[in-house]
Amino acid sequence: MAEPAPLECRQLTRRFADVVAVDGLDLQVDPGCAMGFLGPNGAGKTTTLNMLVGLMRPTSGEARLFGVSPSEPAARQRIGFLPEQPVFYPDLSGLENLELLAELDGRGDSDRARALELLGLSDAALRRRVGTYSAGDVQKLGLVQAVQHHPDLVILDEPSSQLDALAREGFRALVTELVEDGRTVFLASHTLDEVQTTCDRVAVLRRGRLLLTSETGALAATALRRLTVRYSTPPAAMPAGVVEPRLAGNVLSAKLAAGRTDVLRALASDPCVDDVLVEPATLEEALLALYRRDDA
Amino acid sequence: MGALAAGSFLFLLAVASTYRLLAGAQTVTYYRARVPTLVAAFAGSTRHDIYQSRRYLAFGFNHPLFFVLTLAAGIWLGAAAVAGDVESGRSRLLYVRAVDRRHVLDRRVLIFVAAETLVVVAAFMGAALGVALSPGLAGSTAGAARMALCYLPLAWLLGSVALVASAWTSRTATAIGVATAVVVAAYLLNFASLVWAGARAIHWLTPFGYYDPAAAASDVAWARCIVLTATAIGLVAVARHRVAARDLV
Repeated sequence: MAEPAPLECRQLTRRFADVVAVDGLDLQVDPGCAMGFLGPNGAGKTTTLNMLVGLMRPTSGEARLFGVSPSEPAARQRIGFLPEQPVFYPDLSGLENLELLAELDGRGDSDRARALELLGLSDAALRRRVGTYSAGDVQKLGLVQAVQHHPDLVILDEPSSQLDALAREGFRALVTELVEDGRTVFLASHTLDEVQTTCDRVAVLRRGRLLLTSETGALAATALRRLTVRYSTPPAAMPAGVVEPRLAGNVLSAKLAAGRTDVLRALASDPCVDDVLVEPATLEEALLALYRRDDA
Repeated sequence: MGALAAGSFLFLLAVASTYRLLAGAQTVTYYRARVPTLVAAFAGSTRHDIYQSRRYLAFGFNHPLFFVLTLAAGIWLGAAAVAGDVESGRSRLLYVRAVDRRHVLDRRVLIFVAAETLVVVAAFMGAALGVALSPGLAGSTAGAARMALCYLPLAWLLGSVALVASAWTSRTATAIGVATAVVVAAYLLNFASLVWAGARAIHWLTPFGYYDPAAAASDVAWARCIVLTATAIGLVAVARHRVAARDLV
C-alpha cells in the first residue's frame, strides 16, 4: 500500500469571525517535492501553515501529514517547522536551545552539523546567548532547529527573509540537499527568485483561495516573455504581434506571448534589425499576470 | 523566585521574632485577652484566640503580604504557562514538536507547584527560626509546619486559577489580572464572612474559607486540604482540556 502524501489539505477552511482566511483549500504535496507556497500579504499562507503544523484548528475541512491529523503528536514527529519569526529562549545559548528542541522531537540531531555548516553559524555563535543574536542569526538558528532531527517534511515560513546573500546561498543548498535526499519541502515565501530556484512546484493562494498549482517553470512560461529589439535605424512602425511596445531611440522593448514564432521570423527578416533578445518571464511577472487575470 | 522565597522567609521570621512586641503581654493586657473580631478575621479565624502563643503565627500565615509573597510565583508561572508562550511566539517552536500539548502543560504545572512549595517551605523556615528566637513562642514550630502544610493546597489552587486563565487567553498580563482579581475577591469574601454574621453562608464558597491557620496550629484539617487539592486538580484538568482544543498562535 502506498504511503500517504506528506502533506494534504481537503477543503481546509479557517474563519476568524466574518473573515474567511482560508477558504476550502485542496492541496497535496508529493514525496520528494519542493513546493513553493505563494500569495500576496494576507492571502492566508501563514494561517494555512499554522493549521498544517497543528497550532491552529480548522473551522472545517482537514489537513493531513502522512495521513495523520497534525493534532496528533505522531504526525508532527516527521516534520520540521520554521515559523515566520522564530522566538527562542533568549537566556539560553543557541546550542542549548537546539538541544532542548531536539529533546522534544526525540529524533536526535543527525543533520544539525551539516545545516550549521551550510548556513554558516559558527560554534562561537552557538555558545552565545540567543538574546545577543542578530535577526539573521536567529533565522539561521530557526532553520537549523527545523531540520536538525532529519524530518521527512520540512515546512518553512519566509525562511530567508532575514538572511544575507551568503546565507541565502547556503539555504538554497540546504533545500537542494533535502530534496535530493528524498524529503519534502513546503516553503511559503515572498522571495520569488528563491522559490524559482529551489522549488519544482508552486501553489498560489489569494484571498484564502487556491488560484493554481503548477510546475514552477510552467507557471513562468504562461506569462508574456520580454522582447528587446535593437534597430540600426528607428523603425517606421511597431512590429505586429508584440504587446506593450516602447521605443527608446533605436531600442524597442515589448512583451511577446509564447508561441509567437511568426513575430520572431518577421523580425529576423527585417534588414533594419541588428539584434533580437527574448527572455523568459520571471515568476514575479507570471504571478502579477495571474493576479490580474483573477481580478478580471 | 529566590527573592520571593527570601521575602517569605524574612516576613515569617519578622512576625515570629516580634511576638512579644505584637501579641505579648501589652496587647493581651490591653484587650484583656479578648481578640477583636476584625483582628481575628485578619488572622483567618474568629473561632480561635490568635494571641495564644501556639496560634499566634496564624497572623503571619494569613497576612496579605504573606499571600502576595507566596502566590506571586505560582500566579506568575501559572499565568505564563500557556499565554506566555503564545504571546512571545515561542509556542510556534514548542507546540509543533511531537509532544502532546497536555504533557507540556503538565511540566509547567509541576514547575509552579514546586515553586509555590519552595516559597512556602522558605516561609516555614523563617517561622521556625523566629520561634527559636522568641522564648514566648516555644513549641510553636510544629504548629507552623501544620499551617504551612494546610496553606499549600490553597496556594496550588490559586495558582491553578492562573493556569486556567492562561489556558484561555493569549496574554500573560490578562491571565495575571484575572487570577489576581479572583484571589482578591475570594479573600475579601472570606474576610466579610468572618466579620459579618450575615455573610457566613459564603464562607465555604471561597477557597480561603477552607484555610484556617489558627486552627491548623493544633490540627491539620485533612478534609479541607483534600477539598482544596481536589479543586486544584479539577482546575488543572479544565486547563488541560482547554489547551488541547485551542489555537496556540
